[in-house]
Amino acid sequence: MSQPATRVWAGNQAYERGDFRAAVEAYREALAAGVDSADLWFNLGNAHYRAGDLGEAALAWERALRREPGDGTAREHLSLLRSQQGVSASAPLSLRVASRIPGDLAAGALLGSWLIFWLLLLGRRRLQGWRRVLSDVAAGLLAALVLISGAATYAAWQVREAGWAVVLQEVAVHAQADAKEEVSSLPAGALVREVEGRGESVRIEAPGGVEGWVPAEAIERIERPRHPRLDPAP
Amino acid sequence: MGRRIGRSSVLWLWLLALPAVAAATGTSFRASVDRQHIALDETVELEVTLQVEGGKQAEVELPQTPGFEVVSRHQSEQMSMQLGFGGLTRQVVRTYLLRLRPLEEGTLRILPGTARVGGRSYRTGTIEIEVGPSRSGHPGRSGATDAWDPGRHVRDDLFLHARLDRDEVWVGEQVSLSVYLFARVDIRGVEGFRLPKMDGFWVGDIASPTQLSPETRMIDGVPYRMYLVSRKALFPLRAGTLRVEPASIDVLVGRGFGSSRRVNRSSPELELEVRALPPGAPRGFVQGNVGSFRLRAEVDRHEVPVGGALTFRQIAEGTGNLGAIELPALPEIEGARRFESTHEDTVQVRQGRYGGEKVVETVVIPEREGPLHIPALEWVVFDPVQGEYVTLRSEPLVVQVGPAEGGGAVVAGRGPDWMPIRRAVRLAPARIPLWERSWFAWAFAVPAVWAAAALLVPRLRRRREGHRSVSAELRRLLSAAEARVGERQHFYDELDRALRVYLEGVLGHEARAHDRQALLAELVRAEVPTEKAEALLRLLDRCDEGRFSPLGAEDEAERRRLLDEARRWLREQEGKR
Repeated sequence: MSQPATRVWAGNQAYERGDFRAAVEAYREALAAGVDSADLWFNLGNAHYRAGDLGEAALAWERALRREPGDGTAREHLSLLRSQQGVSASAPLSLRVASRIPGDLAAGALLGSWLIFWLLLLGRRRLQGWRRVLSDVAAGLLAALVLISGAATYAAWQVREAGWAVVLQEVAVHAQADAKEEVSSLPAGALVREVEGRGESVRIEAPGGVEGWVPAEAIERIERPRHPRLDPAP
Repeated sequence: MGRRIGRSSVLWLWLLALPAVAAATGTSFRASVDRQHIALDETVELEVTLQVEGGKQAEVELPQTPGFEVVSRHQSEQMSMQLGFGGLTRQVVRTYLLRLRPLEEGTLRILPGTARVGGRSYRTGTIEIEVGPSRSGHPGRSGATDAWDPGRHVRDDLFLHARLDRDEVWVGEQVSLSVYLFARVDIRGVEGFRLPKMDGFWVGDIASPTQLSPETRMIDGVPYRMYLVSRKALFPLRAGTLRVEPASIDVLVGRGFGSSRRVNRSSPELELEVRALPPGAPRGFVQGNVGSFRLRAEVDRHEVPVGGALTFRQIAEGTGNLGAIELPALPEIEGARRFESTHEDTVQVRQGRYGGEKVVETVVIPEREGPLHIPALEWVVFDPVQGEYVTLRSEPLVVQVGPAEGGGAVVAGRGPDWMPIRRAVRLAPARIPLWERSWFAWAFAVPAVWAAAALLVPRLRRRREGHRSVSAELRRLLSAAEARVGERQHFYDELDRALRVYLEGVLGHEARAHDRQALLAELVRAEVPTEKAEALLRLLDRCDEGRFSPLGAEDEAERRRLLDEARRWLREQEGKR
């Protein structure tokens, strides 16, 4: 396989000449070579969209947003696609807020503030007078930072671990895993949360209140995907 | 015979005399003009030629030209070798070319020049020039110049000239910079041309000829070949006096391979007055929107289904800096969503003016049926031709939105440029979140380990120092016992005291336990190895035996052995620590 950058270039070329399937393949090959980038997921989303794969496009844009929460264009594209698909219910507020948290920054702040807090605590008895007061104030602030960054890290971890997924193709939702009766349907690109799995079916909850069972292959998790071909990160 | 001899003698004499004749006639000094009747605003070319044979030194005084100004002066020298009856001779021809401009009307005289060669003087003749009135109607010097003002370069045969087509412009208005090479010498090629840094300008290219084509220009009446080297459109970015630094060029001049040489020429520095845009710009004016433009709007279709896509285009066409202008954003349209806009500039240069067409495309997706009204857009620009702000308006548009046809297929068939990809993709290795890295959780334990170490290390250190001091005390007491080894009761008392002081130091309290098993257990808890603890207890037993038993060791040698055992025990104990 050629270099990821070469595959990205080939993907861009294919996109420019209107060969969106070839662009999708090239971008996927670049991702499979072990690189990761919000821009690359964004381009993959565009190529999927132009090829008519709306579910895959939504998934790629969601992943672009996970890597670059401030990417307004990806958010706009996603919003337009869902609006086009008639998905009116938006993601819960907690997810919308938490998905904008830069997880690594929060975790780094948590660890850093934790270590400095203890450093101050252990060195406290060596300080006297105003230095000791200053150290106590700093330790108090750091304790607060530990709590805030800890909460932020937890929220970022929840976003990753909570099983948020995208519907790849329009799918019927059943009341039970083995039931035939449809209770609802979800269009491609809709956002759902995978609650539990049983065999070839998974139980999902969608933001609009839709709940039930769908075939496992009809959805794909945004993080920790089941299909290796879509795996964005180890 | 005599007649024959006479004829041949005359021939030989003539042959022998020939070089001398040639030498005598081989030096010449002449002056001539290209014409003798000129107007006041014209020039005359004076050519002075000195021909010297045989490599003789020459001193030349050129003809005096009262009533004329020397516009240019050029000197050349040509050397040739000739094989004649006198052998190989060298001939040098030196030519002086003077371009003269008359300063007054009437009959002006060019006085004789003088050349001294080999002790002899040569003179040119007097030349009279009839100078008539100026043909352009302007008297004297001003009438002799054309629109060009190359300043100090005018006396050079080769110079680089730069000029701006305007002296004063508005911020953002185009001024054209043209760089010309003027030459009166043969140019074999241009080896390099460097434009200066244009600080304070946005620069666009108008002409960069790959081949130099000459055009004849008269400068102060002197004909020059003029070559356009570069022409740029400059758009000043700030008000004030802006400077255009010199451009430079490397030119290869000369006729042949041997005589060609590389010369460098620079253009003069230029200044431009840039006026700030007038105050009172209408609301919505964006800095950079300067030019003479027309604005129109269009859609690529007038009927579209719900969820389908149509492209709305705003087109600005005219002259100005396309890269700097900013078209108005399409506002939110009720009942429709829009994608990010893309733009494309098509640059055209017409009659030296920079401009063309800027197209901003926005994909709009209607969300409900019925007429979709796209409002008229207003765009404020500063027109430098009119010198005022103008508000341009596009026509309002209406698109009929029909029932939905279903999703992506509508957009899939569209052109490749309305949903642009990102060409500059920043690639990085796939990342694992920080909290999933193996060291992350362990890093939180660092303070606990640190705290434990901070608590334990001093305690261990104190204990170790305590053992050392107890050992020193024991050693001192053993020495005291040794001093009294001759006195049985005192010796055993001292030894017992020494061992108990040691026990007290190790255990941290007075060793009251008479139960040997309890004492052994305490010593082991205090990290004394079991065998050493047992040995210590044995020493204590023997001490008690010596103190209290009537069968206790009476001889001094036995007491010394006991003392030695106690010291050995102490040494081993210290060695362990």
